[in-house]
Amino acid sequence: MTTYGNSGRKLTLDPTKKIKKINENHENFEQMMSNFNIIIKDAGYPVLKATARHTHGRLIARSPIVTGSYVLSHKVGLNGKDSSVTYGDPLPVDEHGERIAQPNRRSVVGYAIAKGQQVIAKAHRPKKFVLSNSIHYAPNVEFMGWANSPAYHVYALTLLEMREEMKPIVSEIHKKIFRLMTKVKNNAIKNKQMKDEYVREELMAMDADADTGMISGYGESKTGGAFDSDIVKKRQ
Amino acid sequence: MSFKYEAQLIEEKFNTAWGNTTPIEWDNVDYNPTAGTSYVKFTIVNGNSTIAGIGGSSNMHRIRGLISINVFTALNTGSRSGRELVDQAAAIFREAQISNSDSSSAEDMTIFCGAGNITRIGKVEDWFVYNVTVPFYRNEIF
Repeated sequence: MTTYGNSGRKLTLDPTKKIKKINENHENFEQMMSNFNIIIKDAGYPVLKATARHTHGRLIARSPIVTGSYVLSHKVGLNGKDSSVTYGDPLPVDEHGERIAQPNRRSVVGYAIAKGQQVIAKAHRPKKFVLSNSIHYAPNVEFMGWANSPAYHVYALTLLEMREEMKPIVSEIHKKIFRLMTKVKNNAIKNKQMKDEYVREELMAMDADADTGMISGYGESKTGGAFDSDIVKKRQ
Repeated sequence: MSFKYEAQLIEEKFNTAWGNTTPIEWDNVDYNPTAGTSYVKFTIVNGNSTIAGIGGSSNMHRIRGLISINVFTALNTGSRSGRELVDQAAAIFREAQISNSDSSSAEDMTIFCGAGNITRIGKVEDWFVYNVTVPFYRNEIF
């Protein structure tokens, strides 16, 4: 349907429709911003969980195993340090609590991984995970070693590895955020262009109407001079 | 022979900078500490390596590791002297670039050190111990 202004000038779009479209566009923009916030907020949790899971696994893989106590003491603390004692002993024990079997690397490692990963899997919107070792000789394993065994630097070497491995992952997240930001920015630009176009057309239409004396009392003439009802009356 | 030169460069740097501050226990060298006399134990620990760049017939590898220095001070003498020594040790490698790019050397190599971590280990037998750990990396084409 072709629409004309008061001056009989043809308008490109019905103003009512145009306002509706601008409003819709604005709503879309608001929705997009809201989605954007949710995406950004929630994107961190899987990354945090995956990082904690991999780091915990690496710590266990790098740990020396003699009795299994050290490896069973890698703790995953949710939002803070877990200083509790070593996780339960997976090996069969007698009535005095003494082991009746030698530690088996596979069973110890499997048990340690399962215990730590339970904490990570159950965590709902975690702020952080703190990986630590609660056993009293952990500093020896890390820094000192013993007479016949070296310092293992389990945590420091794992940290070195993880830092390097996280670089491409973080870079990928940056790219995704950048793409979203570009989308939001383009939407905002489009919205502004539509508003500007609408305002310009309305002003032009009002200007044309004022020139023909069909409206009075407000607006600005093409020559820049203010006109009011008196001027319009004089013209009449 | 890169691992050899890597260790040589790092150890030379420490030896020169540390001078006669305290005796140094080097890796795999027998050392008997004198009771009550502070000393340091110097170790290089190698970490993981990854391919950092792909070339035509050879690739660039990034090789990482840790410089670990344990500082031993006498028991019951407070922590001030130990802390002073770890400060000194950490300052030698903190963000340091160690290279042997002079023409006489067998291999050109630059080692890039990161920020140092200082840990109080506490009482270990007859000593009070602190640890300084500095991560490093170097690039090499294989």
